[in-house]
Amino acid sequence: MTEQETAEKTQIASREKKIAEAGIRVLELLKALCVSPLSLNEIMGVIEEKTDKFYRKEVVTKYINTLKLFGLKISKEDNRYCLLDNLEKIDFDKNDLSVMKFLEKYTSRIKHEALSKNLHEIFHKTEMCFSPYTKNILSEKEIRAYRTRNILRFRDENVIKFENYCKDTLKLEILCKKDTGHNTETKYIIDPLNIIYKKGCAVLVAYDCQDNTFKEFVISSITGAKQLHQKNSRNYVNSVTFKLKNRLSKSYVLKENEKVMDAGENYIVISNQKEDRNLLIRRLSRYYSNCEILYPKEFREMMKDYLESIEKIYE
Amino acid sequence: MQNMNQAQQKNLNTDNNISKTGYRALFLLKKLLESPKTRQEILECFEQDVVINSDLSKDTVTNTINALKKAGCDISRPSSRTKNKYVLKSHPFSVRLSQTNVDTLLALRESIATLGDWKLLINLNNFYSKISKLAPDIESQKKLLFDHPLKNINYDILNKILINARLKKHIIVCYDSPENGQEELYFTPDFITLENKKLYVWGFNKKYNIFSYLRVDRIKRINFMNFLGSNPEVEDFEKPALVAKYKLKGYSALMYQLEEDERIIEETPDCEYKYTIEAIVNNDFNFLQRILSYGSDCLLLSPDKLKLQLLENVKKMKEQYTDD
Repeated sequence: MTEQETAEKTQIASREKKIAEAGIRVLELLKALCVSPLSLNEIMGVIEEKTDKFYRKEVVTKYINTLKLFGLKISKEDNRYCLLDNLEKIDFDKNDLSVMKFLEKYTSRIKHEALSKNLHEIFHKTEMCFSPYTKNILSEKEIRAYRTRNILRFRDENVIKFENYCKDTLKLEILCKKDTGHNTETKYIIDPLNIIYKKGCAVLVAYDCQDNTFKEFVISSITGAKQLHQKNSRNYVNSVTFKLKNRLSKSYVLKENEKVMDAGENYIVISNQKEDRNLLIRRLSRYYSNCEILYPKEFREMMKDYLESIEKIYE
Repeated sequence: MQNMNQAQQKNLNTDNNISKTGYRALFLLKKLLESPKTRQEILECFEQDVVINSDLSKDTVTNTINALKKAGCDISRPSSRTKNKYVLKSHPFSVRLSQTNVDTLLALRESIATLGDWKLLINLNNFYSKISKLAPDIESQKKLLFDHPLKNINYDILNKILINARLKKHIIVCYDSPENGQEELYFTPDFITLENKKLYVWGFNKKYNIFSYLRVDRIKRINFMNFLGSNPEVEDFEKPALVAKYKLKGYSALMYQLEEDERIIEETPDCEYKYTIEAIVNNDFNFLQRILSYGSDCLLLSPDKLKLQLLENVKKMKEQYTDD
């Protein structure tokens, strides 16, 4: 070892000496409790791992007492110490609390198990950050959930079932009521991908393996579902190209999964990758003749049929 | 400080039952979270605390700062630039949202945006901006802050629009029109809507003498506005009185949500057409956009003028596909 290295080592050692060791152990304990509740043995493990020393249970209890004395709320649930307080506080006002109540109500009504469970966890963490100002609001006023302009109508009872189908990543055969509202059903073989919520309805986003397009199915319209013993495809191709003209070409805001393929003085050509084609047609029809579908040919045909079906109503 | 009371309540012997060094580290962390402090200020804080309550040396401050750093705090060294204060830049002692938590919040916002309630969306964004402090990383924090349909809205402008809509008084806006570039418009705002994830203000546009809408994110400035205390001269403009009726079935009926100035006049769940709706048509173009998006799920009953316009437009749109 050279003289310089020895000097550096001594310097590091002396710097390390100037550290309040017990302070680090208490801080490490707080850091670990911020992540998840811990049993006494787990806490001992955490501290030992950080310091390479063995500590008695009494010492660890002393550290927990230190956190409590400092003012942090810690409860013991199922033999685990659980931090109920965050060091940094956030001022949530009446509107925030009202939105929280709304979210709670909203997720409980859409019956999506994963979302509800996650939101519960998020709120637990949020409540740990409540400032005295927020706690004061809660103690003084009754907070009501935000009331939407429209009454929320949730009609889906099968969400959990479809949530599990999405997790399983197996192909699904479904029967769906036709959009026309007649009592006819259509059969689809699909890769279930995920569940989204639109205007208070649970919607299954899937890839139709027969016509190779993405589709959205309102879950309440699905009358039957059978899981097939075949894995999801994973390679999905579903590109649609359309042209926007005139002022729309300047004001159009690209959607997710869209990119500009070409642009000129008075037009842009856009490629859309993942949108349900039936819904895309509905959206593009809003642009009047400022929009023209270019590719694929069958999608051009679809638009033509769509327009003809409108004409037919008034014949 | 309340801590001593807590200590008494819990019968904690602060000499034996707690780690004073640990307590000091927590106390210093709390003080630095409040504001940057010099070594002297830290010593004074130590002295005033009932649990620490002793005359400590400057080395104790250094040791405690080192402990905080070793535990993961980013604390800048006191310098003339920081006015000789220790500045806590970041620390790892906070609950954090997981990536799944963030994804859940984003999915919920995506879903709520489809409800068309812009006030709810703004309140939700405000809430998300507060909890974004708990995001696990910068990327997630940015998503919570900015990944929403109202990200380009200037809230100062929106506020002014709302004030004047309430007063029914005109404003002069600088509007970035896709067709004409930036133009000055004499506009009397009436109400706001959220359609297709975009915020619109509806009102009377004096330049074109019509009741129409502007995209709020395209309003670059408000060049003239009335304040609450000013002379309340209410603008006189006529709102359109055209009333339309239409029926909805299929997917469009399933996903239907009441629009501004609409009401359901008949609900027939057992029939093919589930709803009959009456709408006050504020703007023909916008109304027909909606009717077109319902496709063959919609039967426009009246007025004939709009039916004709609809069919004319459909014909024009179809012309683009006649060569196929």
